Amino acid sequence: MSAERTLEQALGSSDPEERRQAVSELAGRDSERRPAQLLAALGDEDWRVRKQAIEVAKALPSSPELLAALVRAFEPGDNVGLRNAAVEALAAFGTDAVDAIATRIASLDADGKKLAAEALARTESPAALEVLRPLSAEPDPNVQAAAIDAIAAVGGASAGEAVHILRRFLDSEQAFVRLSALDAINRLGARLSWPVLERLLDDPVLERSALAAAGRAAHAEALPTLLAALDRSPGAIVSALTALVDYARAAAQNQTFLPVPELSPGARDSVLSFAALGQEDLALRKLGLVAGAVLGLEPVARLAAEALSDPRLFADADEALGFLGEKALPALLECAARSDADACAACIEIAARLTGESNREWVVNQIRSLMQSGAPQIVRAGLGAITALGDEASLARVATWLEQEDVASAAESALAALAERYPEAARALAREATADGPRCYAAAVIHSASNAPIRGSVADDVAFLTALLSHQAPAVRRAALGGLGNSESALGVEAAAFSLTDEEPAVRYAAVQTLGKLRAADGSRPGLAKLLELVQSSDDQELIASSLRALGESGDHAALAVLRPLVRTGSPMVAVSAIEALARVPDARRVEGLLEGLSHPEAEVVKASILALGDAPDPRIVAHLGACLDHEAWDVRRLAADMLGRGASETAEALLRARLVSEDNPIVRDALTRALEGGGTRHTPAPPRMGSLRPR
Amino acid sequence: MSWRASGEPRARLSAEEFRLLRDLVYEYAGLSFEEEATFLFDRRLGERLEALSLPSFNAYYKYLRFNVRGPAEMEEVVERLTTKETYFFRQEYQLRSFSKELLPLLARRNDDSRRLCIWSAGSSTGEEAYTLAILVRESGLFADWDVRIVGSDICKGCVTTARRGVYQSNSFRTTPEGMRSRYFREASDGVHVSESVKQLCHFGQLNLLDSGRASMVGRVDVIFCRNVLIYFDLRSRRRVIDNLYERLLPGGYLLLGHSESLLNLSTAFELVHLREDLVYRKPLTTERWDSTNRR
Repeated sequence: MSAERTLEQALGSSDPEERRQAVSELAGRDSERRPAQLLAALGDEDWRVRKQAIEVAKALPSSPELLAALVRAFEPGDNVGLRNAAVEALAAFGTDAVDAIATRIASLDADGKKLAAEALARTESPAALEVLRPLSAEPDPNVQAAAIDAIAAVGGASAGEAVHILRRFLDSEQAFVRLSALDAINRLGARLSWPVLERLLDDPVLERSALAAAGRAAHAEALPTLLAALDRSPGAIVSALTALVDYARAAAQNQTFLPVPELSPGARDSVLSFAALGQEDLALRKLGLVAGAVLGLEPVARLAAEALSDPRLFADADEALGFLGEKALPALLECAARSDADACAACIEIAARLTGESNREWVVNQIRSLMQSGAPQIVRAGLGAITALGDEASLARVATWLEQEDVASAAESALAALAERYPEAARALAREATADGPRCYAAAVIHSASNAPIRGSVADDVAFLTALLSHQAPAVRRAALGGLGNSESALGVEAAAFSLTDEEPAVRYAAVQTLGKLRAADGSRPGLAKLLELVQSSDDQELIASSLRALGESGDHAALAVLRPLVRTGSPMVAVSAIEALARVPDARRVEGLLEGLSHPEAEVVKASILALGDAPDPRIVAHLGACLDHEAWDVRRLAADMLGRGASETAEALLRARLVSEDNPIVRDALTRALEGGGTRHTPAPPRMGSLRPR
Repeated sequence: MSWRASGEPRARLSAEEFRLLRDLVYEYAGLSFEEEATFLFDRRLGERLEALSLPSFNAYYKYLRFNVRGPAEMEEVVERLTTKETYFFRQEYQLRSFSKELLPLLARRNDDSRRLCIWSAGSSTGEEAYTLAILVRESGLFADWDVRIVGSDICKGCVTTARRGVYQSNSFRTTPEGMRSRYFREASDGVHVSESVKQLCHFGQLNLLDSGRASMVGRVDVIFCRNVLIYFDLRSRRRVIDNLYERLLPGGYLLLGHSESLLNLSTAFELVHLREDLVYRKPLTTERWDSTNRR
């Protein structure tokens, strides 16, 4: 018995599992019968068979026969399972499915057209808009509503055009169609003019959607309508509050003033009951918190501060406190004092953001008191707050936190930021330090954030920092290297180079950074020779990659000779670092090196080269990117298509078209199509999985 | 017999397991051990079986080779196998030669640059490097000079200890009392090296076989590499000597342990007879020497 006959029998088996397994084999076969067999499977009475058939259909290469067969499923019939399965399968073919539906849509009945609209919506292809436009004018209101929904779904890329189509339906005699159109416009985030909105707000069928549109549009004229809606039925108050929050967000974005209205006692109680701790409906509680804050209800400050400890409410509570501003500070800091460490840290961060000049000193003192708990989260948040709010006196206080290892990094950042803000006070603090004294760490951090010299002369600075390279605390050695890098002197080169032998990786990487940054008085970079030497002789891949990055950041021409061979033959990590470094060297010869990266056996290295080559103005690049369209890794081909699309030259277009003929990977096909259609302005969305996989 | 916490005897290192571990250590660090080191392996690595709850040395070998924490554990292995007991002012006769003959000579030769750099290669916990710094200070010849004493060791823990500069009484078994009172300070946690000595010393972690890392030491006037070559086989010793030669300035000196020599290793150095010691010197004028060209 032939294999084809065996398969036919299995597909016709009375056992659903046998049929399911037979369907899975359709993916590996190529015969004229396949579209018909697949269509039959999509209409199978058993849902597992239909599901398998959908997966098989999605994995098949696009072909006119297959797509025609899938669209035929929309023709009149009783098999609902088949029709739904066909919608799902077709959607996976993107633009190809749009073309297939377009050629047959006129012959479909109303139900078929409705299904076609659903399939078009799911393709998410902007090309579907042209097919949906006439469909939305169909006399059948169900077809109209489906087309309107689909326009909203695919209109993201051409929202203006989609909204233009949809606005016509706001005047439809069918309330159903008007509502669909307004919801679709809301989904696209379009802003309607006040005269249009005013008319819609009077339409009882459209009230909730119109309130939502009014809130987002943030027309000042809409505010009384929104507030009036607060005193209506419970249904209206939720819609009105939602709209009010939208209004407040839009007003904040436009930096326009939002007058806080006087609420009726009933409406006030309703809002506070929504925001209360006992409110079980989470969505309502979120709304209550934010809306209550927008309306300036002070009890909301405490409720929002307490809600910070609930991860589900955090974002909304944060927003609510933002709307309340400085009014929320007492409640926020009081809550911080009795909360766990995470919630306390959140309170501190938000308090720092809300604090103005009049409250600054009081807030800083409160935060310092909270930091005494020593909990790392609280101290880190406190240091962040002091960075923003602290004065000169904060320098010494922040320096003491360097001694606590788990917050030292945050203390370094805070100290560096304060040193930039209060340079003279910081330099005085640094000058007081000795190499074996308690302030040496702080001094090293200040050296890395301040202009040299600090200690009389640059030589004195370097001597002090070099002595710190022997300090037993790795953090001090690392910070000292930061200071040396900032010293604008070649005197520290030898000491920094020897730190490449430090037993702590963090210090070694800091030494690499320093050698890359060190600049002598004549502008030369004496540390680069050491880095080049390291790259050529070290076995430590991570240190080499780090050195390459530093070389790239230096932009030094001498790096070219070292970087080029690594691009082609280095381990993937080293080769990618070399490519990124090479891309930064301001020398036209870098292009040759980057082109060599396209020959690396690792796809990730090739992709790094493609990205690095993308913006180089060199006519050879198009031809090389064209060659990448034939690369064995699909993600390389996809990236090459994206980059060629950006160039939008005739040569690029010819290369893209040539590849489209033979490309069978749908993700790459989509990229090729987008590159050809969009003139390269759009990029393909991220694939479902990363890496050089072959999903189809 | 060693015992586990459970009361059962710990697994012993078989000959085959020793060979596996020995080859792994060689592959990782270039350190070479003969069969007689079996006892050293068994005693120093046996505790790791207990710490990692491993039933045998074979399981420990697999852990080193295939576990994600294997590389970190390899550092521990090297540390345990190479940590050697050392003390201040060790091999006094050699230090006298260095102090009385080499330092005056270097003071004259480097008078223009006023720079002196000495490398203690394989410095263990730092006693040798600090001893050299003390001798430089004691000589009184290098006041206001740019003096760098560089200590390096393959063992991370040793470098950390060296940098800390705090020692117990067994490090002072041959330290003259005057030196101890001048350059050390008693404290509750041990005896601290004085800041005036510490500020001359810089410590780093490097394998002497790694020419890339070794080059970060810069060019030096003197290298002390005492009782280190014993850890390497002939091939690796030649590479180490190559690297040391490369780091020496022309006319620079190499001082080995009392039982070590460059016999069969290198002909690039000149042998110099001091009053109490024989040391090696890089010729003042050299063509680039390559160990592959040795006779």
